[in-house]
Amino acid sequence: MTGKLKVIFFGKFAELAETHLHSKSVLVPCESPCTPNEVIQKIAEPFPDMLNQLQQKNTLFAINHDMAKGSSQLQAGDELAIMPPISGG
Amino acid sequence: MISVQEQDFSVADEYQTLKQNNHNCGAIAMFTGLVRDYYSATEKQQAELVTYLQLEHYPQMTEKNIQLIAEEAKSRFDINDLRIIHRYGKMAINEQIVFVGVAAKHRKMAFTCCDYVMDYLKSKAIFWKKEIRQSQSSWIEPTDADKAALETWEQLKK
Repeated sequence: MTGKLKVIFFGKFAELAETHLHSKSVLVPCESPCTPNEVIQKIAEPFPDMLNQLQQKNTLFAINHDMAKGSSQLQAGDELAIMPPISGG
Repeated sequence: MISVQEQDFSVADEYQTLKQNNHNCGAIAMFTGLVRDYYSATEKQQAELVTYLQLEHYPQMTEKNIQLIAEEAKSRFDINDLRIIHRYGKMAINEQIVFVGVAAKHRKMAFTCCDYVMDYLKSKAIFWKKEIRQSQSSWIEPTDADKAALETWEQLKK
């Protein structure tokens, strides 16, 4: 089954996405099942600086608003958030 | 109660609400975080003071995530009431960013819980902070001190 995933970038990643992809969020084809790590590779491969930053160890992921791992399973229709380290307060 | 909001808040009003809703409490501890002129900037960056701070959040996740921090705090400490307000958007120097108010029977528990919640907000709340200077800007990430503070609480849990 193939379908689309909504991928949203935050913080400094949103700036990278706006520079290279011209938007903070993109729809990408997803051959189920796929993982956030595979999505990053697919989206950012043409942009080595973006790929390098997204592949840092401290990158965070959320799938449908729940924290997830780079190896978590994604399905078509999911919302994947790709986030740099968070800091409140 | 948790609020994630763009608008400013009144500490006096929050205090009155905590006081009125918690007649059996002997202590209210409150913390207010403000925008300061620099954060984790390098020495070179510090030469140029921050003009404003931009806080981004993830609406579908941020409030839910702070709610979890609050629930954990309530189960961990013997407190009566906990109020958290966290702002997002654009804030100038000296503006209020965050409020934590705790009502408890005793002073020590109120202070400790307030401290705990702030340590978790610093490193676990879903926000991204960018400090904007006249000629440059930089994203702020949790410092080693922030991470160490969290680790201390995690160790105490065990």
